[in-house]
Amino acid sequence: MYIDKIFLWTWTNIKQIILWLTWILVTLVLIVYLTNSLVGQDKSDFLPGESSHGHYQIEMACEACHTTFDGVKQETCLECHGAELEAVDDSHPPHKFADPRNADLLTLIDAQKCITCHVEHRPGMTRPIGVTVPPDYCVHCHEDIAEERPSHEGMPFDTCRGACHNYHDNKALYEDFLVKNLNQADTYDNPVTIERNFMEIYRLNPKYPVKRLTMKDQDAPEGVDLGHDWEESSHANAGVNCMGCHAGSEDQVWVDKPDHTSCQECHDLEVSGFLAGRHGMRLAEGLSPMTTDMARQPMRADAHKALNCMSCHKAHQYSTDQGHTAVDACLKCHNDDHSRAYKGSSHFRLWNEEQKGKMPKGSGISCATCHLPREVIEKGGKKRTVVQHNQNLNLRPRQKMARGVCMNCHGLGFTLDALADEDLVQNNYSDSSSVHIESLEMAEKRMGKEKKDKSKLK
Amino acid sequence: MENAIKVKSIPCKIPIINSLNEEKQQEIMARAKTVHVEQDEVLFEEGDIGHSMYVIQSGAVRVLTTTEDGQQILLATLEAGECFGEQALQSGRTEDKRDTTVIATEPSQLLKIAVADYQAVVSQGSRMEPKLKQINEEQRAKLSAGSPLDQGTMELLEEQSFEDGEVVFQEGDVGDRFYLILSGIAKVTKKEGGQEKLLSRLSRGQYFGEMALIRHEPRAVTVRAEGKLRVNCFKGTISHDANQFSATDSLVEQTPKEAASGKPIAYKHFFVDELALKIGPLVGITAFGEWPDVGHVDTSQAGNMDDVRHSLIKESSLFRSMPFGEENIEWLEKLQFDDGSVVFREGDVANRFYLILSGMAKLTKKEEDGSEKLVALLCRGQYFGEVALIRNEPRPFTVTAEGPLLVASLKGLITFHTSQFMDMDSLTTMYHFSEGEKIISTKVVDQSIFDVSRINVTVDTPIIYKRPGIRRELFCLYGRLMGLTTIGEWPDLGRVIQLIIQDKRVWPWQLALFRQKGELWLERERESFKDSAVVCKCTGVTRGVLNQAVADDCDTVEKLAERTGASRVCGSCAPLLAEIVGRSDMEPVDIVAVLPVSSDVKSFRFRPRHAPVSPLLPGQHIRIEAQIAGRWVQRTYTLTSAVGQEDYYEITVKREEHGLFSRWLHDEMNTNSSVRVSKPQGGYYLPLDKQTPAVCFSGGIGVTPALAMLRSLHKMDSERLLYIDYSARTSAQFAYINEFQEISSQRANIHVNLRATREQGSIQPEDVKQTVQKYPDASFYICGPKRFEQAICTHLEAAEVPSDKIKTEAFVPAGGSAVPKLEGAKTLLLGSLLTFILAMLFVAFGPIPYSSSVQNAWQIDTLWTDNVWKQVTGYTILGLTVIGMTMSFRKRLRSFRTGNFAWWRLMHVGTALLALALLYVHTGMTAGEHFNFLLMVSFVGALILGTGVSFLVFLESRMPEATTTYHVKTWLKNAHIAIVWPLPVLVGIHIVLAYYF
Repeated sequence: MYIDKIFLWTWTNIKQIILWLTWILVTLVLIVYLTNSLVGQDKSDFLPGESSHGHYQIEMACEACHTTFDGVKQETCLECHGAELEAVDDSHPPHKFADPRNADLLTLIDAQKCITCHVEHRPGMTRPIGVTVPPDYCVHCHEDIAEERPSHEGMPFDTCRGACHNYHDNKALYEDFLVKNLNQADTYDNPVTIERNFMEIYRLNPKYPVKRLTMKDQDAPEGVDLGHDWEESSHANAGVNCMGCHAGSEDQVWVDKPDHTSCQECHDLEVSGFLAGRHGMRLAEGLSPMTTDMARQPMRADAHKALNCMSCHKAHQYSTDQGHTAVDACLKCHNDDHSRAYKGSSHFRLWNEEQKGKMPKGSGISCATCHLPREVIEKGGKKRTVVQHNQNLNLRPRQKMARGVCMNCHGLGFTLDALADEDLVQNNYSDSSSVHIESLEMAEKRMGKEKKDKSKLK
Repeated sequence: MENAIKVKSIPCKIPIINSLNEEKQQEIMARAKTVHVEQDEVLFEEGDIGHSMYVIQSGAVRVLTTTEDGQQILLATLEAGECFGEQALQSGRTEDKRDTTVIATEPSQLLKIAVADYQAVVSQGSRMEPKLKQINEEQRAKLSAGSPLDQGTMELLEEQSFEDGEVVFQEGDVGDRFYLILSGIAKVTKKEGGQEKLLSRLSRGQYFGEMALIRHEPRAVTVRAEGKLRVNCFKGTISHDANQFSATDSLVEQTPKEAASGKPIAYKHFFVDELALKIGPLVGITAFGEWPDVGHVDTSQAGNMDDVRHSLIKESSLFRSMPFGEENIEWLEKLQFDDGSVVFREGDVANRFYLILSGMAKLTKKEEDGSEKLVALLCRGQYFGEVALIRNEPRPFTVTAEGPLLVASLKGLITFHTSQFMDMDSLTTMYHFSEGEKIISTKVVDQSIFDVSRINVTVDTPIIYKRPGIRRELFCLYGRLMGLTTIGEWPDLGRVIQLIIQDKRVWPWQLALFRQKGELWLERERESFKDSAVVCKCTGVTRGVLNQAVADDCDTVEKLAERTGASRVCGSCAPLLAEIVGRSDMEPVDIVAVLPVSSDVKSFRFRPRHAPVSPLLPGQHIRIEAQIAGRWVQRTYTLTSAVGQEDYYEITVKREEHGLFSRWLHDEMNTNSSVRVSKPQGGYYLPLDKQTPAVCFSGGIGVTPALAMLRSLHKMDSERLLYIDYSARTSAQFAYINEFQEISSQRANIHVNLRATREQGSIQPEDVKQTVQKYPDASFYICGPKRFEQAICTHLEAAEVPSDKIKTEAFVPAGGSAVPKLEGAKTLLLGSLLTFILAMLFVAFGPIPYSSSVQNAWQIDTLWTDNVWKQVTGYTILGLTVIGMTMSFRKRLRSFRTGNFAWWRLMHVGTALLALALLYVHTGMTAGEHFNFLLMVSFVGALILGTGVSFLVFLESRMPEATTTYHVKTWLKNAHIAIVWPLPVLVGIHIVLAYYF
């Protein structure tokens, strides 16, 4: 009987059959699972290693950097970092290497591509500041620096970066700039932070007639529990009614908790900065908001914030009074040495006195004064003072804060020394610097020599 | 009568007739008809219905059969005195067709015996004489009240245990007992043409040895234990009274009252019409199930646990029949009753029976006037409740506890009965379960006819399997076996019957197999039968085939491989083959004699099977090897046979309690054991060409060389001086003391000094010194325990005997077996060792750090950071892996079998080593994270396990005795394969990932 034979064959080879079936099944399950992971949203199975501090927040948004089957393209890097590089007048822009005279240098290191020096999530490869090439990479092109600048004679090439030079943003050490800022006082007399002028700019726009609103004017739908905070806020003062924030972006339907897109309608620049910075980059990539639990920085154990605009800015008590926003909001979460040392620093003393009214407005130094500083932006022919919400621009490497932030109050020499002292940074500038950077002296010496040379020529 | 006389003059070779008594034989012959046939006349053809059998009186016939492919072949030519067609008689069934064609080769005269006649004679009244074993009157009087069953019980002698291979009885032995199997398997064999033929295997609940008992004949078969076997051994003759089988009373029940009158009782509740089974008197009873350890019996009554158990065994015949000490207690539970509480009442439904462990039970019965009448008081060791269980009727008594009572309650019991199956004498075993369920198993005496059926179950038509001489019928209901009838041998029968008893499921494929092959299990599934174990996994050669080949003088691995094909593929089973073969340079021997010498010493004599006994020198030893529990074990023993002994080698061995070999020699060796010996060897001997005196200092069993010297000198009638100083602990321990004393008293040149050290103290330096002075120029032979030898040596040196005159026995340790040389073994070891080290380095030391400077001439990390390099190394690893894996095809695909597997293996290891080296370059020793880590685990894990395998392969080639390596290797190899399994998928995805992101 045929069926008997099939039975018998199966039975005789049952062990092998089961083994092979198991293998095929396991293989199929594995393939389906892995392919599904690869095509689906959560690709965490394939993370090859830890991402750098700059990108770890958005490591699960693979497409932010990777193009499927086409690697990491230069454009994707520039999408986020292009503007900044331009703003700081990148010292090593790709087009500089396009010069045929530099072709031989490019064989040593392909400096036209970001990913030559910034390789992501490869275990053990990432060095400080997200650089993945050995620290003495400058030697490739600047091997003979001592010939041009004898002051650099004998300096090892792995000390270029860090205290002094920055590959992209070297403006604090431009020779002209150094010469111009020789012999400055450590701190200027009574320096003051510039005032914001959003209201004035705003008033110029005829579409938004600024009229102070009271509770009588509120336009919330019925049934919404209204507090009285709003009436006192800057928003009420500037004529922003309930629906100004609580309306959904398209259908004008009431939203209980508006997100950053609501704010963006008026505060476009601020929100853009926020989305580009550490606090908003996940939102910008369509991921869940950043939380303190995800952070690699030390955070307070009792803080469990999911970050949006309201994390720092009070919603209805919103006011241009920054007592809360510029210091307390930060310290609610941040718990690293530098943050914790702030309240013992001279900067805080000034801030405290300003808050108490003992000092003039703008004379205090808050967290935001340095890390979310005010910038003057020209837009539509109007000069606007805005808060730069992308703190990444004033964070690491800290030397890039010198010209834009520190020198608002301090002399260049003092600034360079202070920024170079790691301990000083950790205790939030509570002492004077124990390090001295000789850049100014070098520039001065060279200038003197040039003068001599010139006079000789004469 | 005329015919009968004729037949008598012809030696009749038909067992079926021979087995009948003379009276019957004559009667059959009287009924037979004489037939004349001409040349080429056809007597019957294949497919005819068989009605009769034939005995050739004169002339000759040829027997033909048709093979499967339609060819007619000659089976046999039969001459006067021989018979044919007896199968019709044996089966006794009319539907059975002839499976041969018989044609007369010359004009012949035949005697035709009709089946009907045969059956009529056999089933006639003149059956075997009634002689049921009677229990003595006193015992009966004591037991009758409580247990009428005991009346017909065979006397249970004892419970016996047999170890694997031990013989229960041999063909030709006198049969005075019969056996019931309590546990284990009994193997029944019969010698046919010098070879042992397996007849059947019996298992629990079956019995054997009854035929010789009934018919007062020597044993017709040999029964051996297969694995540990426990049996109940019954004494006496079984026979049955024909009166008891009359059809009229087959449904009539006999009451216990009649039993008391002394007549044997027959339980005949189960009349199975279609099987024509008549069940006769009860001849035995036992219980199922295992007896738990008696740990909870009240010990205040009797000593420790063992005492309790032993006294119970002594007291109750039922206890004696119960198997003790096994774990399974499903059938049994212990119950405790307080004084006066009722165990069961008259009229209750019976589903258990009871054994009293301690205390007393009172049996009472209600009289018609309502009063309670005491029937019996039972005490420890007695039992009650079995009658109702067997008969499936309500309880006839009420049982109450008299004082605290502890009973064991059993769910079922087994009874034995004589019976008649299709008018043939048979023995029936009945399994009584609770709820009235019963299974009847019947075996026809002297024939391979079995019938098993479940009572009260209607079954469909049977599934039938037939081949010449074999007919098997299975009755199934809802996937369970309900009964079977078999004619002819069925080695697996015991296991099949267990299926019925345990009510186990029979799967459709088992039935498919049955329809095709007549078996319910595939050959390889009979795990308990060691012969079926597959040794060569590649070719499927079993241990049985190999053993057979070895028995047929395949004495080297090469010959064995040649013959069976085993080890020809991957060669990994070669060590096992070597183990099965044993030492090829040794000579197989027959065991000639085993002679007891003293309390724990025996002499063993072996004669080489194919070669003459080699000449020996007195004092020399032989190496001897024997297959013990499937493995060859070697030892060295001094020969004690005299010079010139050409009939046998003799060794004398003391039984060491912890000695594997000596214990085996003493306790287990039998004529079927495989034993081999080397030629006599060793430099410790008495040179026979000299005449200088010889002095032997012997300690304990170390006397054997001295014995050989003594015997040799005596035999040669030499005048050479021989002095033997023989120390043993006590005088009882002197081996061959008579021979020593006899020879020394006969011959003036031989002196023996016996020293019982416990009484006389051990030998002293002065004794040695005196001996040295007495025998100048003598050579000194020392043999004994190590310390004895050392002491004597020291004494002799002190007596200034030159060291070349002192000889001590130094046995050559048993050497290794001849395993075929593993080619490239050292390269294999080196390669796997390197791979292992590299792999462990990978695991132990993390990643190689990236270059810390660009100013070095060459950055090594370019190799694992540069995309081009990564692809080069990656694909090379892939390629090497694929090449390495072709070894699997070599192993598994027939079309791929080229080249020596050893070189393939080397290639496998080589590619692995290269791939690992490249993996260093590919990854910079970074294990990776997440998915990559999995891939790394699979890859490096496979390499590490693989090196383990090849290390063991190497070890095997060096240490063939260490079979554990083989098993560890198999385990490791499976792990190696298992961890490689996901690799193809992982590698595939890994490559996709490299381009995807």
